[in-house]
Amino acid sequence: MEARLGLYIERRNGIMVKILAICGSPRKGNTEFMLTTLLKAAAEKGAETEMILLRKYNIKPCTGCDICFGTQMPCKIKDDMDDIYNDLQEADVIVLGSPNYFKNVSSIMKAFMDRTNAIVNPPKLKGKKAAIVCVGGQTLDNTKYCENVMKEFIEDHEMKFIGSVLARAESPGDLNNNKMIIKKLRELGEKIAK
Amino acid sequence: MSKILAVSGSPRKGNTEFMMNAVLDEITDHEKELILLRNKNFGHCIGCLTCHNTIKCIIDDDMQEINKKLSESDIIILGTPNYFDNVSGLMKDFLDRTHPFYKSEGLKGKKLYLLAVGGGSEENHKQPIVDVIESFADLQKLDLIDSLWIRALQKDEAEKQEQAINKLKEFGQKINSL
Repeated sequence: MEARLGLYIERRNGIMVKILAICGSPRKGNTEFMLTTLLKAAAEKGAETEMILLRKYNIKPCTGCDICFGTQMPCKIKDDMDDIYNDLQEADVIVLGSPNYFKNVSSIMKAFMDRTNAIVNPPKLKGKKAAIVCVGGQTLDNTKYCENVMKEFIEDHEMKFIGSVLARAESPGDLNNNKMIIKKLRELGEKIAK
Repeated sequence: MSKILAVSGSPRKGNTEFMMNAVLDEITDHEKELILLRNKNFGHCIGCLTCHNTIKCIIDDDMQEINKKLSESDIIILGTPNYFDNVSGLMKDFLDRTHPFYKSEGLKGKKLYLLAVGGGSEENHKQPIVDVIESFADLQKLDLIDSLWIRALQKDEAEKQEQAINKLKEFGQKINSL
């Protein structure tokens, strides 16, 4: 599937960390660049990596029916989230990436987050490691709000926050030659591959 | 007489909608309208940023009409359930699609009110929603005047609480007296 960008490399020492990145940008721009850079560094350290581009998936909004919460009942909406629920549960590390829209995650990312209500109680992602990338045209202070929304989400799912990279950029391609951000992303990628 | 636009961001017919109607019932001296986002057809913002220059969204869906109504309103009331200590996805879709007003400051100075509802306590869950809407208001130069949290989870839980109804009435009366 075109929406899945898998970067697989040979298994080393029989142990491989599975990293799943969730890209919440509606366009092919800085968020995707940041996640790709991070995953590439992780793959070079022996991790199995995969990225889900939410913009290419059909994810309907949560209807608030609440049959899933506190029960083992699956979400009754049948769409591409079916596969993503499995991918999330199979991963060891989940990396969330979102552009900053109004000091918050993008609406595509929010639609995804809401639908994970089906696996938050009981917390099926509990104990997994999680990392964040976040980018926006505004000040890093403003982009921090978006990071905090994702941190809260990680906490709600009882995952362990490992680290984040925040960047200031607006147009696609803005970060392609930003050595400092690329270095930070590679460092975080290598860290989560362990 | 002011123009009041209320926007409900719940995907179901439940507490948020009840709260919006309870508040609007008290407003008799102004023009008012309630928009239920769940009945509207509109998609996610695609981040094209075309609106930075054109002040108009390129996506042709129901947000065109909603944005027109927003620009004509004096007072905006937003209602949302708490999903992951944040507004609902539906409300976030709406907030993102008001981006054409960002550079042009098209909503500057309008009064904003917030109604939020969720199964958790006011102490732990109201502030995250207020923060999200305050951030939005700050960027859109809206004036967030007041907010109200009602604790309710099941669809008809708010309407069963006398205290909640009184708070909603009082909230509506304050807006009516503007």
